[in-house]
Amino acid sequence: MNNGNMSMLDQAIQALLELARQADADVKEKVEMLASARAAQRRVKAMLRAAGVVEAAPPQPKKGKKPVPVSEEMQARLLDVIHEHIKTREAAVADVPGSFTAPGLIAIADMHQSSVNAALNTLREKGIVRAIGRATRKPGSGAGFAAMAYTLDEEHGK
Amino acid sequence: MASNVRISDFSDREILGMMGDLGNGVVAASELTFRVFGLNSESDPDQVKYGNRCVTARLSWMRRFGLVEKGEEPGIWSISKEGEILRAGRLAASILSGIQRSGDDSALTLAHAVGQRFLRTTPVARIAMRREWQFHLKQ
Repeated sequence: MNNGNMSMLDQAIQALLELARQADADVKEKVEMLASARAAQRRVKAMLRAAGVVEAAPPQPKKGKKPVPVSEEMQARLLDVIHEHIKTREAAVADVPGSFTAPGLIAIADMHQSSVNAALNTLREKGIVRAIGRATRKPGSGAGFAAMAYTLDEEHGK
Repeated sequence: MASNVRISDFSDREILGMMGDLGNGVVAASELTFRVFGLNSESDPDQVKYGNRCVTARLSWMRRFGLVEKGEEPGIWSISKEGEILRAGRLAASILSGIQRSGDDSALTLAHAVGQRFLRTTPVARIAMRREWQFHLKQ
């Protein structure tokens, strides 16, 4: 009698173990499908962003401090730094003479990093500088992204 | 990975500028990829492939808007005649200075003047203006 009961119990346990194994396999498969679907979603969204298509999502309200307007004086100071960089430093992008990066300017400017970045953004918005791509990373320069490179717009570079 | 580097970080005007820098306006998409993303021939092939897709997608859109054209060979692109006119175009220093110095109280008048000018320009220039405006709004 006991042997028969054990046998039935064993059978029940075996059945449950099999169901558990199938459920694990099912979950694993669905997780992989979800990851694949998310990757496909990201690819499509990246292509839309690359095409410059503005997404219809409402803009998120920005938190934090209000942007401080960059004074004409600071812009003029940065332009002096840029001219200094052009005269004394190697171009950030080899085949664009006079090209520079924000870190390159910060290294020689007597200005706070945030001031350099803010003034550079303002000059870019005004069209006085233009972005020309990313400076090519040198071997051994570590992980992370190459800095954005800029040049003076033709009119202002004269 | 170049996932934090986006081609949408550059305006159409800047992309046209890069094309001018690289090959007098005639470039291979791969060259533009290297420039936009800071890659080279030794970079991770997956990054280069991803970058190529982004650049080609952007150039395809710019072609629809009339700013660039496909070259004779696959993968080659050139700035269109209209694109070149827009790339090289400049505002007189006095006009630019006047706009930049205008106060908030003249915002509506300024928008009205630009709007009137917008309506009188070519279809390609109109789209280019709108996209440049959108680019700056996103910053």
